[in-house]
Amino acid sequence: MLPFVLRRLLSIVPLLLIVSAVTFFLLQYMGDPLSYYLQGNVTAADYERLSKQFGLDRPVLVRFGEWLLDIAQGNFGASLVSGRQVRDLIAFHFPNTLLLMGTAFALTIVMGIPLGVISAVRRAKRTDYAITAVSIVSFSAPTFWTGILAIVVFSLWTRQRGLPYLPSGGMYDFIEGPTFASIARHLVLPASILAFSMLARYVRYMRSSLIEVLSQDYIRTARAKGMPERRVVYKHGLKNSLLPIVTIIAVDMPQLMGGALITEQVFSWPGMGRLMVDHAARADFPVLMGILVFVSVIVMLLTVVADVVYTLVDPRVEYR
Amino acid sequence: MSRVGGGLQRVAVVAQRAVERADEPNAPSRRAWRAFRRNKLAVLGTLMLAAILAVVVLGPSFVPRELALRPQPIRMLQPPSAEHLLGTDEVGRDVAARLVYAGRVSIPVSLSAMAIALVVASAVGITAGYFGGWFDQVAMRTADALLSIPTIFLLLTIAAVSRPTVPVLVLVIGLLAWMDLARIVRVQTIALSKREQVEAAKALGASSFRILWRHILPNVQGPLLVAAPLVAGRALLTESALSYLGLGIQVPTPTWGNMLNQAQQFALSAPFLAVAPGLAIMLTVIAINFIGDGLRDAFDPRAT
Repeated sequence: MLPFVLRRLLSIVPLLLIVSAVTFFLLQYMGDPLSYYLQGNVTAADYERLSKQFGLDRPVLVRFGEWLLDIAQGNFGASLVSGRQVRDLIAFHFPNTLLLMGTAFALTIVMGIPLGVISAVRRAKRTDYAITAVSIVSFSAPTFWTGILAIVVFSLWTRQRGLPYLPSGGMYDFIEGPTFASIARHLVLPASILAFSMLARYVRYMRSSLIEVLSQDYIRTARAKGMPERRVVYKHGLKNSLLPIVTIIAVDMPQLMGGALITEQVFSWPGMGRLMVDHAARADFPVLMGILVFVSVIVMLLTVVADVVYTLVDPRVEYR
Repeated sequence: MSRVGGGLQRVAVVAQRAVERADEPNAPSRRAWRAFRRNKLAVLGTLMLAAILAVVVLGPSFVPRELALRPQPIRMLQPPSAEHLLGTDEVGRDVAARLVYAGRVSIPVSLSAMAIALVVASAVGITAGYFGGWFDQVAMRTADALLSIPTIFLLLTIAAVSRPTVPVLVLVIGLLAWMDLARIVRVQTIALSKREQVEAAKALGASSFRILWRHILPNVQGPLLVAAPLVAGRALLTESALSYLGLGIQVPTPTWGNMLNQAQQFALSAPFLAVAPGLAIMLTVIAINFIGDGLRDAFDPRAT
């Protein structure tokens, strides 16, 4: 088992090299690394001096090598805008993203799996069609739109009418401070919206996975020997149909991250996505590069975790 | 001697034609179309998309461009009325008119991005699958790497550093959407290249290009066709998201995404601004997904 985990972890290295190369050369050649400074009166001499100061006059491969060494040690440089270390910025924002993603993910699983099971058991009945219709909306509605609508309905309108309302953005009240209750209240809307956007995939996948399992011979055998239908579905069916869901989770990680970015923007949630959008608008290269590499590492690590969990829960899968 | 040679050559040509005809996807595809037409949701999706396209294509003959583009502060943030069916935005442009003109940007953008993604996916997938070797390794590792960066993060970075024009944006969205499809094409190609007709074509001295073009490509059309609507839907959502964030297609050019960017600021005073563009995106994506589901079921009856 351990060699398998190590090998999977090592397989990240080449991917990471490609990601870093893509990131680095993208920023080198698609834009001007100095564009942040090119506001107001910048003379050709100033430009020359800045290039020297940032070492941009040296060969590009040398600079790529240095940058690789730096990020390998967790040193992403400093923000051009605020001068703060990119490492610190990420360390501040990432836990917030993790909180949002984790909550949304838990919600998705808690709602998606039962809905998928109901849909499969009541296949081609009215309940199934209703669940399918909701899934289609969930699959096709952009997060930023459902988010704005949710703010209008649950935050602005309810407030206007003197009803209990949810906060429309941010992570906690400034007066109250970051207490558990305050954060929880601010988490409700963004986490629900993010969860809703992922719901469809899990409902649909759970449904087809369970339908597939329920058509197997051993289910027929279980029914034939007179086992109650509940027990057939929940003990034999559900248990086996849950396994493939783990793989979907791994594939979904990048998408979940991307969804979180947009949700954070809609609800002014101070996470990685918001950090990225803020600094993208100001061409803050070190921050952008740092976030890109960091996010990919996280996605790859989570993918490995999902792979390992999959081999642990399914004894039929051999780890090689 | 020459007669025998000529005879062999003719046999070869006939055999080659037979091999090629066996590859023609006509018979199964006709069956698939029939299945597609019987699928109610697929037909509904086609009709929805046709209606949306009709509005977007014919709309400008009824709605002057002025209404969508020129700010008229006198009539800003008006709620829907007989004169302005969907109201006016924060600088007094007619929302309904902007919706029509936005569709003329959003839909072609997603379709062209789809086309780019399909071309790249089939070229990379077929080449990697057929030849294997180092190209296969490099291509698939690159696909893995690109798949592990969330697309929207990468797009944001690119948009931030290069302030792309619309064609560049289309290119970039397309170039970030080929990866999973290329994998499917690659696997299919590997399976196909072991089939007898490919062996036969090789034995008859067909060039690699000819084999790829005549024997492999027609047989991966199925998965490509099934994936095409999904890729287009994803591209539409990607462009909208980017434009919503203010880093995609820039105002004053309207897109369904950047109309929502403005709408959020006026969510309290003019909530009607947020409804229409989002509905347009959602209905288009739903229509596209219905078509995609219909195609999948038609080409792969075992699924679902």
